[in-house]
Amino acid sequence: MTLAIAIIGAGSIARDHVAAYARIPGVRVSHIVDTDAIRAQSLAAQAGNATWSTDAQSALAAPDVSAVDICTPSETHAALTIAAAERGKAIHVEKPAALSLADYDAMVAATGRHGVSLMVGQTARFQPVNREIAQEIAAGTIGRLRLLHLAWYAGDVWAGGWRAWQLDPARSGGHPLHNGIHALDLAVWLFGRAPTRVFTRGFRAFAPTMGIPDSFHMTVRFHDGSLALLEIAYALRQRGDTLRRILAVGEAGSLSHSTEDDPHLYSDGVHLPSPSIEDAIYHQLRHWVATLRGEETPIVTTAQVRHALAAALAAQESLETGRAVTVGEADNE
Amino acid sequence: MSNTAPLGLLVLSAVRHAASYLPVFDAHPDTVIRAIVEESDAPEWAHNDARILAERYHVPVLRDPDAALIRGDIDLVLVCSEPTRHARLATQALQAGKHVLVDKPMAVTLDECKMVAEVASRSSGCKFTVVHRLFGAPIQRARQAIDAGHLGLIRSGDVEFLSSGVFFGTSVERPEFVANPALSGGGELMNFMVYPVDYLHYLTGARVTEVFAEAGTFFFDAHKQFGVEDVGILSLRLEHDIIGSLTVGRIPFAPTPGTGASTLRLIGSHGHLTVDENRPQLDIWSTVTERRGRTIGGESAHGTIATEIGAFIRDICEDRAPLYGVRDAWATIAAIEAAYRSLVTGQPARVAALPAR
Ligand SMILES: NC(=O)c1ccc[n+]([C@@H]2O[C@H](COP(=O)([O-])OP(=O)(O)OC[C@H]3O[C@@H](n4cnc5c(N)ncnc54)[C@H](O)[C@@H]3O)[C@@H](O)[C@H]2O)c1
Repeated sequence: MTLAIAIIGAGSIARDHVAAYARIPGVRVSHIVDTDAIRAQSLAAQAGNATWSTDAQSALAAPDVSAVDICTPSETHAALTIAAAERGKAIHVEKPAALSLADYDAMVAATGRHGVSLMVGQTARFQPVNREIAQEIAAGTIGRLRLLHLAWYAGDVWAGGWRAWQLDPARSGGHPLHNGIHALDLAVWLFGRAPTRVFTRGFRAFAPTMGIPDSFHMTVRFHDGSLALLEIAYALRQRGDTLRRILAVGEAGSLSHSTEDDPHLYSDGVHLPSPSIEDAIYHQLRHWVATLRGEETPIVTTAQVRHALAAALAAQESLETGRAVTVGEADNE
Repeated sequence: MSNTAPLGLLVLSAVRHAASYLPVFDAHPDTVIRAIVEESDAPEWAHNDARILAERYHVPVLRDPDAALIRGDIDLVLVCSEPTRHARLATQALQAGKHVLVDKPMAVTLDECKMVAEVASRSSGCKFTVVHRLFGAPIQRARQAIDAGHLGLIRSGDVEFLSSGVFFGTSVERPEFVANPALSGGGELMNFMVYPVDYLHYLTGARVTEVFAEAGTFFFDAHKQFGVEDVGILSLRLEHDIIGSLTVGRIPFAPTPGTGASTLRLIGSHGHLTVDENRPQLDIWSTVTERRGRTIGGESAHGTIATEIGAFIRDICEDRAPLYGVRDAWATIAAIEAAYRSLVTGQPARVAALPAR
C-alpha cells in the first residue's frame, strides 16, 4: 500500500526531502503545507501535484495521510509535532527536535499518549562513513569507545544558506543547537552514553558583529569520563570546500577517516559531496519509511536525542557564559 | 666554556631519550662526547643507564656533577634526566657557565620555569634551548605558507598529537617516566602538550591565554596505577582572538603506521592548511614486512631532533639566538599548568602571564 506523507514547511530542507521520497518506492507526498502559499504551491508541483495548503490542520486532518514530516523552523517543531500526534499520525521531525527539554518531553509524551511513532531527523547517523564507524564499534573492532574527535569544516558559511531565524538564538537555539546537534547526536549514538559536561568556544570568521559564531568547538564529557572534541567550522575560504575528519579511539584500537582521502571531482565551480557523507537525507527518510512498515528497527531513539539536546542546550549556555556547563542544568524552560 | 668547535659534550643524567639524542652528537663533526655524569644519590638504575651509554660511546661515567661541570673541556651539557630533575640540572649547568640543551619539558612547575629563566638571563654567554619539534619539515612548510600570507589572518588551529601505545614499551624507557608524577611531573599532558602548544605559538605568533581541559585515564596500567591521565582534550583561547583545540596523549593505536600521529589544521581568513607529520606517506603492502607505511622524507620526530641539535651547535659557534628559548618553554609550560588547574576546577583557567623581560 502506498504511504501518503504530508510535509509541513516547504523551505530548503523540505526540497531535499521531496527529492528523497521520489526515490523511495511505495511513498507518495500527498500534502505540502507552508505558511507561505507560493512556497507551498511550488514545492507541491515538484512533488508531483501534491495538495498544497497554508494551514497545517487541513493536512493533519486528511484521512489518507498516515505520516507527517515536519520541516519548519525549529521553534515550531513542538506544537506541530503535538498536533500531528493528536491526529494519530506517525511523525518525522527535523533536527533539532525542540528548543528546550520541556518542549521535547511534551512531544515525546504526546506521541506516546496517542500511540504514534516519532523519529527525529538526526542526519549525521545516516552519512555513510558514520554508519560504518557505528557498525565497527558495535562489532567490537576497537573495544570500548573512550575518545572521539570530529572536525567538520566547510566553506559554505552556512549550510543551505543563511536565514534570519537561524541567526537568532531565541528562534534557532543558537549555533551549538542548530548545527552542533548533528555532532552531539553522532557522539551520543557512537558512545551510547549520556553527556555530563560541555564546554564551547566559538569564533566569527566572516561577520565579527553577528550575534552567533559561524564556527565553534565543543568538549563533551560522558558519564563514564569518556571524551569527545567536536569541531564545527563554516569558515573555510572557498565555497564548497569541505574537510571532515573523524577519529574514534577505543580500548583496543582506533578508527579514522578524512575526506582528504576520498575520491574527488575537480571541476571549475562544481563541488560534489564526498562519497563518504553523501545522500544522508535519502538514507534517513528511507530508514524512517522502513520503520513505519516494520521492516527496520528505529536507530534514532528518543532517549538518545534527549541526551544530545540536553548537551546542545548546555553547549549554548557555555558559549554565552564562557563556563563549562553541567548537562541538564541549562534547560531554561 | 668555548664557542669553537669541537665542543665538548657532557651528558647530565642519561635516563630519558639520551639513547636517541647521542647518536646525533656522536655523528656531528663539531661535537665530542666527553663523559656521562649521574647524580651520586640517583637510584642505581639511573647509574646503570649512564654506564650502558658510556660503554657504547667509550666515555667515562662519572658520579659528581659539580666536578664534571667545572671541567674546561666541557662546553655543552645535555640534560636527559626524568622531567622532575630537568630544571634543577639545567640551572646547575647554566650556573657552571655551560651551553645547555635540556630535554622537554624544560620544567614541571612555574617556579622552576622562573628559576631557569632567571639563571639563563644572568648567563648571557651561554646558549640555552629545550628539545622541541619546530624544525620538522611539515611545520616549517606551514610556517612559510603563513609567513607568505597565504592564510590571511589565522582564526583557529586544531592539533591532534597522539602517541601509539603499541610502542609504549620501546619508545619510553620506563613507564614511570611518563606516569609517576614524582618522575614525570604529571601525566601525558605534561609529557606531550608541549608540542602542540609550541606548534600553535610558532605558527600563529600568539600565546595561549586560557585553557579548558578534560582528561581521562582509559588505556594503560601504568597511568591507572599512578592515577594520571593518558589522554586529554583541550579548548584554548590565544591572543588576538584566535581559538585552538587539542587532542593529546597516548592511545592504544594512533592513526598512523608510525609511532605517533601528529596532525594540525589551521583556518585563516584567506585559506586553510593541514599538516600531517607522517605525510606524505608511501603505503606499503607486503608479506616481507609488517610496516604499512613510510613517511616520505623520514618520520618527523627523528629528523627534527637531528636538525635541532645541528642548529643549536651552529647557534653556539656563530653566536645566534636559538629558535626556541627559555621564555618559549615557560609560556608553553604555563599553558600546561593552566590545563592541570582546569582539570581540578572543571572550569577554564587563565594562563599565568610571564613577567616582563
Ligand atoms: N537534517 C538536516 O541536515 C537539516 C538541514 C537543514 C535544515 N534542517 C532543519 O529543517 C528545519 C527547516 O530548516 P530550513 O533550512 O528548511 O528552513 P527554511 O527557513 O528554509 O524553511 C522553513 C519553511 O517553513 C515555513 N514555515 C514557518 N513556520 C511555519 C508553520 N508554522 N507552518 C508551516 N510552515 C511554516 C517557512 O515559510 C519556510 O518556507 C529546521 O528545523 C532545520 O534545523 C535540517
